[in-house]
Amino acid sequence: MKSTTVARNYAQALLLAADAHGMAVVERYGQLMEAVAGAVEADERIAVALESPRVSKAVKAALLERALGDLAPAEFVRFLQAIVRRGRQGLLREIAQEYQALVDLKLDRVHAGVVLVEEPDARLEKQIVERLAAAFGKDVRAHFRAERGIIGGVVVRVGDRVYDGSLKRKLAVLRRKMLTGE
Amino acid sequence: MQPTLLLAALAQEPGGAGGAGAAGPLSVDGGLVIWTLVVFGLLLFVLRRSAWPLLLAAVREREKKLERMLADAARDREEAAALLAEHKRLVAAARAEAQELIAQARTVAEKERAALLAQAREQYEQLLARARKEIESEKEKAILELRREAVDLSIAAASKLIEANLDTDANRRLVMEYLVSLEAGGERAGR
Repeated sequence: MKSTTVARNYAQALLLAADAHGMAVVERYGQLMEAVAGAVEADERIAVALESPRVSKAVKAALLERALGDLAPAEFVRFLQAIVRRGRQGLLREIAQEYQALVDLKLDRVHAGVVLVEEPDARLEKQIVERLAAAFGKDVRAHFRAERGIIGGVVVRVGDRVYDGSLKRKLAVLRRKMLTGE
Repeated sequence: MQPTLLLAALAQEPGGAGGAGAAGPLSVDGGLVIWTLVVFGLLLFVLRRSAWPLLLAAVREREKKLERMLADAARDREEAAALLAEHKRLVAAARAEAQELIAQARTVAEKERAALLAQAREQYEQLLARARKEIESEKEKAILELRREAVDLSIAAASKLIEANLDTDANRRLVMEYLVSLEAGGERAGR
């Protein structure tokens, strides 16, 4: 079976469990999955400990219990222990992504990468999110990034589509028009 | 043999007609006349019997030879005339053929010359057209390059100017205007 399919199955199981406790828990589990996957990627020792065949599954489960016992619900810790028990700890990142995709689908939410010429303040962030939500007719989760190269304006990426309202693009269009005389 | 001997005896006889002493150049001796006639007759007879047929045969042979020669000459003349006529005909035919060949060669040469001229003219036209096209292309290229440089300079200057003058509020307005247009245009603004 493909790893994506396996990851999706785990993600669906986690979502099913979280959904029983309400949307707050669904979001919380998503954040926890992101945090665990990020931690495994950031610290090689965690990945080695989880992957090593010399560390027994019981020890791995105990380590997870000790590390997350105070931070995450017991149900979430048990989920991670089940993943490790089945030797699927290498799929943590994919499971986190699939879980996020399922949550987005459930909440009718899209992720938008927003590029501005400088870091936005909270008010601008809020305004941009509202405008994007109105434009796409969905809940939008924006990920902001600053890039001086766009000169001004905004570039929004949703999925594989890019909405370029930057001054850089406008100048490029102007340049093309001036060259071709269109 | 007898007449001959008789004539000789008569000639030597002193009392003969010739011996009268009065015989002159104009005197007529009857005996001599007779004898002369006899001798002539005998000579004629002998000649008629022995020499005449030979002479006649020789003359006739010669006549025949002459006739043959004349016939041969006539035939030769006819042949010569025929040959001359044939020769003239052949010469005329050869001349006509030569004239025709010359005319044909002239026509071919004329055609060839015309074709070469046309080809040369066409090549010249092609070269001229190509040269014009290249000149036009180079001109267009130069103009485009110049325009590109001017536009790039203008865009770079505009970019610097915008960077220097675009403050946070102006940028915020720009962002919001675009998002409003995005909202109005839906996904049409995407690329």
